[in-house]
Amino acid sequence: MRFLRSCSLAVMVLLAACSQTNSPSGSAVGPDAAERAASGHLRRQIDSAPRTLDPSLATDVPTQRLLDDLFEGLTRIDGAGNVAPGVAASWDRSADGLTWTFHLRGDAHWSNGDPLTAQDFAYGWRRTVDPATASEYAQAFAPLRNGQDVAAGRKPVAALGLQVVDAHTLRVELGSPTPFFLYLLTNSYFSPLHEPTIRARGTDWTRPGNLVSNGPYVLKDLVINGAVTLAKNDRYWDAGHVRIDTVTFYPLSDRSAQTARFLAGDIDVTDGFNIDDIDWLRRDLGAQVRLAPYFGIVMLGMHVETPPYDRKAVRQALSMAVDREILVDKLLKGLFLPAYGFVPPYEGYSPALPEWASWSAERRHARARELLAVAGYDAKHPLQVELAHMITSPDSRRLLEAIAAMWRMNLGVKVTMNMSEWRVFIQDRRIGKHGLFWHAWIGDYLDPYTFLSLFSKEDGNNHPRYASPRFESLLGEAVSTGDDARRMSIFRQAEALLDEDAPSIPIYYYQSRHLVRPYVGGWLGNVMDRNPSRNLWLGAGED
Amino acid sequence: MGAFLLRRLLTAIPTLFVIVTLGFLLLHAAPGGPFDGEKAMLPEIRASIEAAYHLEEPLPLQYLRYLGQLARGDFGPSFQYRDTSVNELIAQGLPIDLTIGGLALLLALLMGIPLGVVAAAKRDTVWDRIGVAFSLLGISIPVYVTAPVLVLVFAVGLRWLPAGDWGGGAWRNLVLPVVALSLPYIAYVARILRASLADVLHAPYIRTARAKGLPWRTVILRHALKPALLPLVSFLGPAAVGVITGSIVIETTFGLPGIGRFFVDGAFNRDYTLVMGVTVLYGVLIVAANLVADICYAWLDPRVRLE
Repeated sequence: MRFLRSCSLAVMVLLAACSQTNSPSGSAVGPDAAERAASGHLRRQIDSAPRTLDPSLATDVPTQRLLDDLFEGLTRIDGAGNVAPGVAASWDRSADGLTWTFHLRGDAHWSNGDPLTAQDFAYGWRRTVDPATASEYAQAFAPLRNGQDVAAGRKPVAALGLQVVDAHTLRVELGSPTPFFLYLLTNSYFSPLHEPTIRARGTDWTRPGNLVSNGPYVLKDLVINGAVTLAKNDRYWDAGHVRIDTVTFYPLSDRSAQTARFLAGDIDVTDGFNIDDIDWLRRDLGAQVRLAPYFGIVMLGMHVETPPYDRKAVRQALSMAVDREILVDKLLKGLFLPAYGFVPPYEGYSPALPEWASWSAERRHARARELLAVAGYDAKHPLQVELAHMITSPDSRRLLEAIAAMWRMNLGVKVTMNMSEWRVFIQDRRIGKHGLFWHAWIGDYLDPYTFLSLFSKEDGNNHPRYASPRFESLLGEAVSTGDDARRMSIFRQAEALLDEDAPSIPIYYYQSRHLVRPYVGGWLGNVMDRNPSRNLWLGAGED
Repeated sequence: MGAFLLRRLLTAIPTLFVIVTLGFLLLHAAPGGPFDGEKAMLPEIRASIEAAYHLEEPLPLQYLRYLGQLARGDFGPSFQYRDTSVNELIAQGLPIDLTIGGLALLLALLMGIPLGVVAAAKRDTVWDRIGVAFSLLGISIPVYVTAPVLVLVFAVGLRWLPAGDWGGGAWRNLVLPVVALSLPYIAYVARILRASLADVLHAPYIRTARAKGLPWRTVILRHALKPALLPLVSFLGPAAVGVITGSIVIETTFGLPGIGRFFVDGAFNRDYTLVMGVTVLYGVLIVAANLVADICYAWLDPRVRLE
């Protein structure tokens, strides 16, 4: 499959290079731009077929793209990626930040015409958190009072901190002030659900013709692994501002095929492209190549209980010896950003970086060798490490091999690579079998906590098994304070502690990459990489 | 003939049983579970998900449960497509593979047989050389090269045809995947037929026919072609299944919602029921294709009797 991709890629590049010389410039835009704009039909590509359209059960990004169009929670995401009022027209927060009262709009309806009430939210949330539903996102309700206990089946569903005051008022009680709560509510697992449909149809309720939704679009047609077509929902409360009539999502996992479909004019927006294609894509497509910082990070985790990674000096040395700029510039074509901290930078948070981040490479390497010497490793007794990763794209493998080479060259470390299939790797990492391993994370909401909590003792995703009482108390303090500025400053202290203890080696921050036709308006690109179709339009600039 | 069919169908049952058992064991022996995701789950939630799919039961019990389901023709719910059953996925994907694969096979025969006949009849002429060169290219250039090239030329460059998508089975959407899938099979058919026809043409009865003054065309089409088709038939049995069960490369390149992608994605995602369902389906198809090939054999070769 790897060979397959490189072959098809080589052919594509070759042909793109040939075709470029004999086609008029701008032909990539196509003469049909005006026609496309007039069609009112947006064609988007997603990386895989939706696994389910049930908001309680969906977990993958491609499905989230669809659910962002089909359902709407109390709040929603606007074009810039900010929280905007959704079904809730307004809300109040109690002084202690623990009680939220949401006022639902009176004109919100289901796609079948039924009025949308607070009860629909209560039903939807309770269904998702109920262990009987077996939702992987039940844990997302942890910020709600008793959320964690209800998800784990230790308390009844009725104990969830949620109260229907009247048809248009919903009161939510939280276990601790959660400043990112409004953002959390934009996710589809916090959608309202239409109880009569689910009761009547059972697992068939998400089929075309059955699915009753409340978002800007309704499901028209669905072929698994084939096209999914959505049509504008005329009963959506803000239908007047929904400018695209039909949206088709094409699941395509092969990056070369995605680019080919875009170039052929079959698709208006792709969800990515091959890193290696960036040069000729930029040259041929110009501004149609869209890059934006994305709230995610790639790290190498180290199991802090397993020798030699139980030595802080070893972990620090391995981290210092990685030349991130070289990796990003030479291997990743500058598409990602070198990472020294653990929280990707975004407006509202400036990360705490280790002091050595600004040092020259020579100085860093020298210090790293000193640290290794302190830990008892030298040329005669070289450090031996095994880097575990999954069978993955050639891009990632090249990256890991480069890191291994840097360790060999800069520190004299002996590195072996341990590659396994994705599901096997995940399982082995979960049971602590790997000492040094690939660890990537995408934030669930726009707040440093989504990354820092990865290193909390109790967190199931704390694969390094990092446990620091000081770090725990800082996180606890940040979670309980209602003061936003103070919260951010505590997060910076916590991040600085991670820099020092180095349970993981940050490598790079993600950037989202898309190909977007010039006639698709409203595509701003945002740090969560969520672009619901209702924020877009076809044709020249209105706003 | 009836007794033959019945006997073959009865021997198919233990064959399928072995396929099911081996598939089930291999799949469950593979490390990593269907719900091991990037994000960790609370142990309680993991337990409730596994209980929903009976994964917490001992393996022999799961196996018996599966056999019971299978006997009722129920492949069970898919693990990765959580609100869809495997029966539905197969019902959706199979017609697509049958269409693409059937057309590709038809094209392979329509192109490959004449090419093979011409090459054999005009041996060592320029026609033969062209045929041999074409079939060599068709066999040695893999589909994952030809398919993207076809897309680049006819979809990206000339914009005559769409670069992918099923499009409800519209002919425009079918052309590129069918052609790409059939190219190597055209080559195989041509090569096999050229070789076997060349052999047959040396047989004494062909010389007799020629001596009687029959024209070449009649000799080849009437007397030589039928026996020369025998090796082709034994090739076509399994090949038909290969073509019809879809090429994962074709499905991925053209974004077609066929079974091949389900099978591969299912294996990677430990979607036990989906992989088992497709395995059983493939098993049935192979048994059926071999049966059809045997029947064709008897029809083509009077020395073979179906007893």
